[in-house]
Amino acid sequence: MTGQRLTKHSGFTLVDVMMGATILVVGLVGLIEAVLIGSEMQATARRQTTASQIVSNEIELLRLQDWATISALPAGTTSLAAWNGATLYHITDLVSFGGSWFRCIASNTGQSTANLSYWAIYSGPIASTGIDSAATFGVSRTVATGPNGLVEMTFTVTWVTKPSGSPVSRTYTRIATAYFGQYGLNLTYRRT
Amino acid sequence: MVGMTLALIVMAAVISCFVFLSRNLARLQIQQKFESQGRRALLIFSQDVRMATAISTPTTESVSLSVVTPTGTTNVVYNYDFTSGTLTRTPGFSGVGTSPAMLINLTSFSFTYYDVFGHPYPLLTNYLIGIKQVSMSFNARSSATWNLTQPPFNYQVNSARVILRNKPLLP
Repeated sequence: MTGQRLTKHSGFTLVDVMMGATILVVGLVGLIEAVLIGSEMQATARRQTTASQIVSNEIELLRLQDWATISALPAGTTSLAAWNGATLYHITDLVSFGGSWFRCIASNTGQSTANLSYWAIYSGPIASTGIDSAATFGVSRTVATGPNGLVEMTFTVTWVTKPSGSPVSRTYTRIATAYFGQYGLNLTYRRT
Repeated sequence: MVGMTLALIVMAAVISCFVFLSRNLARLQIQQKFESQGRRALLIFSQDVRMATAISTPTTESVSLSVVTPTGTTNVVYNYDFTSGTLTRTPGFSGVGTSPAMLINLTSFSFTYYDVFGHPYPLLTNYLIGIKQVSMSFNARSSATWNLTQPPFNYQVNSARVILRNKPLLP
């Protein structure tokens, strides 16, 4: 700099300013995108908490059941669904009816959810997921025969979200597998 | 003039971007704080309930759990303070409110108690013997002062019904 003399016309040209502004915009767009992704991840973490509570609730419930009830649950996958008068319901099945949730406490077919000898009003985590309007939760239970006479129960909580401004929906699942034995032995694995 | 106009436009864009970023980063920080304290409270509450051999003085805002320790049992008291909006967990009962707050910024909180079939108990003490499951639900809300330009952030949790595994069904 010492050998140079500033002239009357020295300074930034329009091209310099435009280039600088472009670099700045690229950087800021990246930062904004990072914040938006962080926000979405935070929402996902919150839903993971809800899903975790839903799974815990289902497994805890099964721990209260006797072996006759556990072993009577039909093999295969049962999804949470609206109450249907023609369906055979087993103890611990969960149904929705009239905007509320009900838990089967005595095996039945065609018994109204208003009959408290067969149904208990359910107000657990899944019944309150309306607080998160951006995601709807569903849960299914898969019963299979495990090793050494154990019954293997796999619970899958699924929720679908569509981030604002994104045309693509994303589906998340949280899965937990629990093993139940005739004499109280049980074990739980979780994965997401 | 052209240079000045461009500079103003660029400055306006930069400033609005920084305002947006600062607001949203502050919001993320609040959300993360609520998520952390919520998960921690759920974990500790679940552990205490599962370990408890007995339950006493159950109300919608407080409960005392008898938890086994290496030297016997101790009472762990959970208490919701409506005025301060906090939930405190006091192990070894020595006066409610002496422990650090487990949850803060609460706008509502309640414990719910159920029998072995999942029926909720509306009148608690009359059914003390039959209580076999406990759940808690709460709503926390960020204070309005953290960012006046955005609505307060709400964080609502309904816990699983946790079984009192070590509490006998009959006395």
